[in-house]
Amino acid sequence: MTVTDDSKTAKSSTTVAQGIILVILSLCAILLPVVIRKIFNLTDSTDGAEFSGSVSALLSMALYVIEAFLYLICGWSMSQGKFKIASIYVIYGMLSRIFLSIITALILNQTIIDSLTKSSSYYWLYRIIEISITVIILLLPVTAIVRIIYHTENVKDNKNKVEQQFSFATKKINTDANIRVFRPEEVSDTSTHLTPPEGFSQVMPAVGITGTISVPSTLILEAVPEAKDIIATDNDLPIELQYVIPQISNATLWFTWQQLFRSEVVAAKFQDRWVKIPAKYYVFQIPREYYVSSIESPVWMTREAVPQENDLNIRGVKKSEMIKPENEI
Amino acid sequence: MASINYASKEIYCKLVYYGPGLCGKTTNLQTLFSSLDSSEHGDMVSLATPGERTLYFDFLPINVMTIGSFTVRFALYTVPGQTQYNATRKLVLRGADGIVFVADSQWDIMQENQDSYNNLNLNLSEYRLNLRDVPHVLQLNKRDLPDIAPVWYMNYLLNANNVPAIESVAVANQGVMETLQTLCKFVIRDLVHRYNVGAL
Repeated sequence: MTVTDDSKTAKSSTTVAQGIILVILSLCAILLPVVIRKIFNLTDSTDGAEFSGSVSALLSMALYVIEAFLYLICGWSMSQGKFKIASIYVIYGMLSRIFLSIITALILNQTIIDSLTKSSSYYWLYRIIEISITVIILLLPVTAIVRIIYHTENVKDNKNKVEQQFSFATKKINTDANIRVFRPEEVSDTSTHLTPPEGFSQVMPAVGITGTISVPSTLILEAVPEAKDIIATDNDLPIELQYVIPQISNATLWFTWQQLFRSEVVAAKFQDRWVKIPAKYYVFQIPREYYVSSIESPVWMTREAVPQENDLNIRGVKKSEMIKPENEI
Repeated sequence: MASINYASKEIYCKLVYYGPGLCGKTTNLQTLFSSLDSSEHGDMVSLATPGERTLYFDFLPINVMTIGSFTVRFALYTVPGQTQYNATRKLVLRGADGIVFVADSQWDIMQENQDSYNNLNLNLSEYRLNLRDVPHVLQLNKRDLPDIAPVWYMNYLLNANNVPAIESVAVANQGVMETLQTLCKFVIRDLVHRYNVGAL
């Protein structure tokens, strides 16, 4: 998505405001546990003797890691504009902290407040994780903001629309505002539909087959529109049968430009372009002998008829007309 | 694979309508549902999107005949034709006793027909089955439309096993019953041969 010059100012002020809100929300999410810690007069002092080597130390470490993960998910959710989900993970993070305190209190026979004010001997590790996550959480939305401000967001990934980044952004294009949204250019058939299917390999010409079929030149120009100066649109173009026959078991023929115009018009930039010829343009021009297959019917078709199948009448069969159970095969 | 319930004296066969999107698989079942005597079929279950595209499958149970002391019941299923639902198609295809490959006769859909036919072969191969070993018929649907491919060409393209090909116009109830009847015959013959149903 690009924005016209005259609307850049309005766009920038909007995105900056959104960015500021995003940063504030991120900080709130990050600082919540810190605030809680301050409320309960938490200190950074460690008490290794109580935790060291104990089950509670391991448990608390695990819960710290879980809490850290929850904040990480929270940060990621925020960067995606999923604020409700982010807030849920903040709450989960807080709950895990409280749960940890309760467990620790029970194990160490403390009050919950005491437990909250204690820290394990792994505190330094938790601190590192917390700082890392804080940085990541901060960086994620900042990256998104930078992308939006510099209008590179939708160029890089068209799926990441502004509406998805910011849930409070308008869902409709406001045509009254001085903002114009330029959609990506329609992708031409050349790049999407005119490439052979996966696994297709360029056919080799069949030996001993002569003759040509002719197809409308518009088909070729559809694939290579740049060639309109080279090919006359009102003429049919010949294609050699030796390239056609090896492909007729497919519903579509695929040729490179080079195969179609081997000796005449070989423009370097067209050589590797694929041209698709649907079946209806060539089927009736190919001798029927090439379509003959001599495959025998499967075994199940040769099985003996069952007597009851004569009574098989799906056109509204009545139960009363069905074969009586006594009539066994 | 057919299941035999000795207690209720019933044989259940699963028939699957396979084909590209919008080729008329669901229409086939709807036509059968509205044409058959109500005593001969159960409720039709259809899980579709608001745009009436099959989302998961359509299901129509019908009772066709008795063999010996057993009532043969056919459960007709359709698969979602859209490319992205291959997992569902594979699931629905599992245990099929017979397959109707519904092909759209329009020239413009020929590639989709072939892709779907290849997809059918691929999905069966994942169950270690070969389409040639499974009773199936080819239904050439939408024969009433202009710009359609000739039968001989569709046979060449989509009938690698030289099975019966039936022309149909599902919306007008042409060829729908014939298709089912033809497949049922082959399925029953196969059933009788494989399980010796007459001796049950």
